[in-house]
Amino acid sequence: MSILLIEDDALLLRTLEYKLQKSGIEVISCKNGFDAIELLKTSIPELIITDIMMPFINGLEIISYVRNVLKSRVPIIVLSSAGLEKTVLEAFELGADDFITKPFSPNELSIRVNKMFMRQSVFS
Amino acid sequence: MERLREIVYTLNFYELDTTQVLYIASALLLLSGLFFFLFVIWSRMDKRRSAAKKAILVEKCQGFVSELVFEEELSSEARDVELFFLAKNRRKQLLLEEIMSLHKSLQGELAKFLEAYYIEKKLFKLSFNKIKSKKKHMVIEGLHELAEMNATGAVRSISKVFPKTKDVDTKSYFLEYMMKLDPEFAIDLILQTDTFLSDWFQVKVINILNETNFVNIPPLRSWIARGGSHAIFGCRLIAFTKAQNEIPDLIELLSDKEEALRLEALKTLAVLEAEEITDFLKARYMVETEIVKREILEVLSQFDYKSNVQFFSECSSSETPEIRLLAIKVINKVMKDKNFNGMPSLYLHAYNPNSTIKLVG
Repeated sequence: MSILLIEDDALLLRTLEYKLQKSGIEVISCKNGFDAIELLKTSIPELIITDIMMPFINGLEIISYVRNVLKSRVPIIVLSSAGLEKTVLEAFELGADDFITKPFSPNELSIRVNKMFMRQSVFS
Repeated sequence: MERLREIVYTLNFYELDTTQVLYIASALLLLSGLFFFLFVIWSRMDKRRSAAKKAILVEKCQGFVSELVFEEELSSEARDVELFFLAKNRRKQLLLEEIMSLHKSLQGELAKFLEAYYIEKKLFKLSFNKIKSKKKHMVIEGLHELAEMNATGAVRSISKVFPKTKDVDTKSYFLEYMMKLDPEFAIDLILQTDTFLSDWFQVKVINILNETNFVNIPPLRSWIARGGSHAIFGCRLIAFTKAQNEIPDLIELLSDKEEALRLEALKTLAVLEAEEITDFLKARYMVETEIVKREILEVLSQFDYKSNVQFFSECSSSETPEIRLLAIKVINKVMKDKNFNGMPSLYLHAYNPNSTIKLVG
């Protein structure tokens, strides 16, 4: 199982990467949307976790790229700051599958990731 | 060196001509420019070196923090890194910054773990030293760290530092951050303090009360007894908590000698929807200043305005344009109300034949 993790907060990125790798998941990290898109051009992971507010290319643009350009149905979980309800709704309209509001518990994220993978395996 | 000394001693500056002076001045200017240029280069290289060093430390620290948060037992390597960072204050501060940065994004068990770590490894001492500093920005930084890491046990210690602060702005920051840590303790401290409570400070405190769902505030009487900004703040707190039992004390404030306090009491009564005071307000209207009269009309327009049409009709012939306008707005509202019985124009005329209202449509 592989996850693309896109987050501009270096420590949070590292912490989530550590947590997910501990659960036996392969994690590819990107610090900004630009690197993420370059990576997606070469291969598409099994799950994408992306922050919304990022420099250069934000999370919404990444979702739009994945759904409209790459035409991929890969599950996408969005990390959003509290109070950005409108943005989260926009993310869902663009094709996101789930969201978590910061501050959040990494254990909760793990559970949601596992659920996503289970759902994927049932459908496939 | 000897030769140079000879030349300098034999030089007689009074016998130098203009050209020679210009040459010497140009040489000096060139030399100082060169030194300045070299200094700038050195300074930039030094900055880059420090930034590179810091980046390495940050990388090391982030690796350690990730392991700290998820592993039940730290590896020997991680322990060494921990000791390395805890050895000096500068590195401790870096560790604290990384922990705080992570704490902002997490909640639940892990957030509490980081808070406990902050206390256990005595990182709070760094924050405490800052709040004792004479520099305002350091004090605020220290307070922010204590609040961010939820060091609720530190409130009493902070309150001991608070009286030593002379600057009013800094005092407000102290109170604000103590509110975030322990609202119950801090609200009593705010009541007791002689510090002027600015409007902006009051808004921040009410915001904190809203976020923490804390409503157990001291009674209005204690705020009024302090007077000044405390009394105004007391009224605003009553409006926030919607404490209906404080209505009698608010009514008493309507006769206070301070206009600002009377205004605030009126606004609070409007929030509490104290319609039972309608007649009292109409009586007060006759003896009040123009500003307070306007506020009374505003309050009455929020109450059952239909039963106050006669009163508004009389106000519509006031000499003050703002009062006339307010009265007319309310009357227009009445006329547009479909449930209102009777012919509006005749109704108005019956109440006030001198009314200048023109009915359109």
